[in-house]
Amino acid sequence: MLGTRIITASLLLGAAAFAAEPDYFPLHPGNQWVYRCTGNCGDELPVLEIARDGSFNGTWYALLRGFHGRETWLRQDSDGVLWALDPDSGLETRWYSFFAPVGEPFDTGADPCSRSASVVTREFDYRGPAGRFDDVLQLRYGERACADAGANEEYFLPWTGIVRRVETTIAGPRTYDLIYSRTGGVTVIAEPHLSFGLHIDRSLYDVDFMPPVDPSRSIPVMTARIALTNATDQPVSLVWPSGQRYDLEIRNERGAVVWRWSDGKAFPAVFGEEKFGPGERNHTILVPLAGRDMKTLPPGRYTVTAWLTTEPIVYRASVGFEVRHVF
Amino acid sequence: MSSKALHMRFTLCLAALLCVVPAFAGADYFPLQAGNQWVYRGSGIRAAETMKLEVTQSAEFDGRTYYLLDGLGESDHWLRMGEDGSLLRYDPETKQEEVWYHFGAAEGEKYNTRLPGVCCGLAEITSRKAEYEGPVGWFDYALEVRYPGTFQVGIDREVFLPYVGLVNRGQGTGGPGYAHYDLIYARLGGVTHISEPELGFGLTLDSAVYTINLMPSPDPRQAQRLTARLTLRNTGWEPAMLVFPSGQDFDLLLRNDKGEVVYQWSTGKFFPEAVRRLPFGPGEKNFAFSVPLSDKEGNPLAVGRYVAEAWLATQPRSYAASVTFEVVHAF
Repeated sequence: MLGTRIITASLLLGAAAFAAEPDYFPLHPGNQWVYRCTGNCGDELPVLEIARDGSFNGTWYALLRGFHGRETWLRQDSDGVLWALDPDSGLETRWYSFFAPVGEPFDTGADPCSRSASVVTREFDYRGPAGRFDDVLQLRYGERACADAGANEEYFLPWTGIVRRVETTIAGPRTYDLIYSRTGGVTVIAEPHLSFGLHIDRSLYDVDFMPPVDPSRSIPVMTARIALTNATDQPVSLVWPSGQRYDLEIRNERGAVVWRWSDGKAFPAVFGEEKFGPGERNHTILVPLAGRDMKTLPPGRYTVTAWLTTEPIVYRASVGFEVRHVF
Repeated sequence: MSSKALHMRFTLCLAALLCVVPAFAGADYFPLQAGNQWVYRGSGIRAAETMKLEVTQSAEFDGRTYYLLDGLGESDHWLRMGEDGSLLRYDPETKQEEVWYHFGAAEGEKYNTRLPGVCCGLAEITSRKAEYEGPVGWFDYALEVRYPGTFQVGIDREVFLPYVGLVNRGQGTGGPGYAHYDLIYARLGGVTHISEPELGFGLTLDSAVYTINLMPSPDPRQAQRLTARLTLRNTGWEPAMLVFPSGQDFDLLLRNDKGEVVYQWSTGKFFPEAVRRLPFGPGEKNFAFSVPLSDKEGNPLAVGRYVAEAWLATQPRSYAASVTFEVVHAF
């Protein structure tokens, strides 16, 4: 499986370099985890995130928006214990003891229906949408206080977080498996996927008219990156009716096109067809934020849209941004 | 947020990635894995240019694994990292290797290099704790390479980050002309994505081809499903203002190759009419959901090509993306 090969190699690099106890629940603000649910589930998939951080009585905590919409302030100590804070009472409850001896139960408040849990193994051979890993911590909850509800097991991948959660609901069993995570801002783990996106270097572009700036030269430049990623085991077919590979346009609030990358450009009338993937293809365009008259765009909101010039056009993305004049 | 504060945030992110190792002894300054990509933005006399490097494939020559680097100069280059920290280029015709970089060299020790674009064949590692501040952040553990003897034309200075690669190149372009290239995006090892502050939106599907199993009999309740993920990411200076005219956050529709809408996520759903103005960022927001690959009557989608179009339900519809996929039937 494609995802397995990539991910395992990268995590091994991380593990070797850390040379320390693994972090089974990274609490960096902005961390995101998306899960696919099997069993009796709804259409919307759960997204966990570290929404923000904060300080209570001089101690740092991170706010987790977790399963079933619960919000909890968390911190992890040097003994690998993940603590949950009740901001009203100031009391902490243990959620996980990641370094607890295997098989030794510990008190937990992570699930309202279970009061204890234990580490089954730290070498669980996990296979799921995001890949195969052989160093997963398996945690099993103890006797449940609720009749037909509560968590049964959770699985944690070092430096990533929960990769699987198995729970019982009144509607039947559910299993959540990780399909996407971004941790520490830069580490992305995902199931095989096909994606297209547009990225610009800011949401607000200031045009500096402060003297002695020459207004005719006050044209900010946007960096736009178009990314097609095929991380599946099936190449996708790209049919090119000409030598052009992409285009980009900017529309104002009234929907009028004020700039188009291909204007004034000529492309060879050469038909082309290719298979793409696995891989990622980036096109980067530097866009002067000026109209066709080469004058700075007026202040206001704009939408930039980019697409691959395939036949038919099927990869397209747009992003909004604002232009502000500063005097 | 100040420039320094923003850069510090990115620095911390990378520090987490790089594991806060006090000394980068034996660090990999040029990660060679197929699929690795680096995108650079020019400045100075090359302000209108970008540059992209990509490791496109690997192959065995004389019992050694080499990686093909595209984007540096006119041709592709087969490279490998030597045991002593040297980046070596292999010529399949002559079967000879030549040194491009000697990352393991002592600071101040000059070494010979055949790196394209270097005027005089000499290089020197001037620091392993150099400061670098650029689009992707601020760092104080960069490796700096200088090229002695460069006069007016040629690569003058390069900066590398451990486990990331080249982040900056300065080169003379003739006369007083000078150009810089700074890293603005890198994808490394499949899982590490580094970028300058950005605002982005994208649509991700879990497959390019969906096989609907019609055996033994089609059961709409067991329809094959597609997983779609909409990702809005803003790591820039300013929050992006999102105006939602109702309680609806997003929508998605599927079109067949005739342009007909065969599915829309919001059909049959009701949303409260309440205008919401939400500044977003810094951060990332994902909306993920599963979609049955069946038509409005519950029948499996016909064989063919489809387009998934998704958007945030903002006014105006500024954040949108589309991706194609194929449906095949298995009997």
